[in-house]
Amino acid sequence: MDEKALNLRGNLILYPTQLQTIDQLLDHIIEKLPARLALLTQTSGQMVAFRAASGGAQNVDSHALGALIAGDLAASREIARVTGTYEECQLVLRQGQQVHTLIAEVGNEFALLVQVNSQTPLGWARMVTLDIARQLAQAVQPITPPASEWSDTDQDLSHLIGDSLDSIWTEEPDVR
Amino acid sequence: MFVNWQLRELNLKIVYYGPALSGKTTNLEQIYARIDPRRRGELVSLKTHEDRTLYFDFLQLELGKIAGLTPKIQLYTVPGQVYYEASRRIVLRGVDGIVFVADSNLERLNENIESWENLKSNLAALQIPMPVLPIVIQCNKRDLPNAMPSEYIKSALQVNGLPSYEAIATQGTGVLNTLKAIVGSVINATQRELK
Repeated sequence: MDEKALNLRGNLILYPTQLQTIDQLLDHIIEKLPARLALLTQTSGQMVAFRAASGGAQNVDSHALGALIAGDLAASREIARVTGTYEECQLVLRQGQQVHTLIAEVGNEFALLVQVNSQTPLGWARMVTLDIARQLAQAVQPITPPASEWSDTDQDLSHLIGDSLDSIWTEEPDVR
Repeated sequence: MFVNWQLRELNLKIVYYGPALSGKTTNLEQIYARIDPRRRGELVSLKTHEDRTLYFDFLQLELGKIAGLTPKIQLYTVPGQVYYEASRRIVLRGVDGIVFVADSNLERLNENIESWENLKSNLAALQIPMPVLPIVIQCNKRDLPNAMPSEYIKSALQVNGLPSYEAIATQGTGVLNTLKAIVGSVINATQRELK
């Protein structure tokens, strides 16, 4: 494996122990604030974990949301960079009539989205969000990997993938 | 690439790159329209008032379990207009594979070359080594009366060693073949990297 190339391309491998910690932290922020939803995404747009309060936004397309959050944070970083005001550990706040949205940097490679009811005090929401963001940054640190079962396969995966795509493709487009 | 070993998911990011109006968004629209709705998310588009891509389009596909993992393929486009340079570079972060959508229109040759050079420049700026990155060329708009031969386009871009596919994206022609080629290349590259 070309470790350098892997790292430069921002590849990420998370193992069950790390993902359990991440889930616990997101559950904690949902209960503690309380928050409507919490989502951790890579800054490249890959959604890592998502939690929503019951009766909240469970049916949201979390992968699309992850991509949009990454784009939002990247645009905010660029604005800060262009205007010469960039600092690490930034937090973007969108204050709404009913819902406040906070997007916090989690290290350099991740972003945390938290949505709270507008009755939640903003200072409290900001403090808890930044605290959880710091803990998440620890949870996503690389760890020694257990053996990979998948990497041992000798199957021609590109053919399997091609067959899978064929099976979900239709020549008649759905024009709805 | 993001591997979630808890859910046994393999998340891959593929970016459709190319000059303005070459058909990048059309590729995603056709994929969205032709993939089983149970295996795809919503098509998210950030557009200008003139319906041009402002930031990116996004579509996720979920394939069935393969060799014990569930591949999830995230497809992005970039805005083609020259002045959206910062947006393109942002979207390229963490890319696992690229489809370069070239416009076969003879009058767009220079735009194709400029966009290809721009891609090389952005990958270099992001320190993404081009030789290890799977790239597929799609020569789109093959139905135009003044379409250049695909070999001519590849020669002008100096990409003769890369796989290429002809397409008429507005009709869905060549869209699946291109998608299968880039996903297959990315999966093979990923398999090599994970070993």
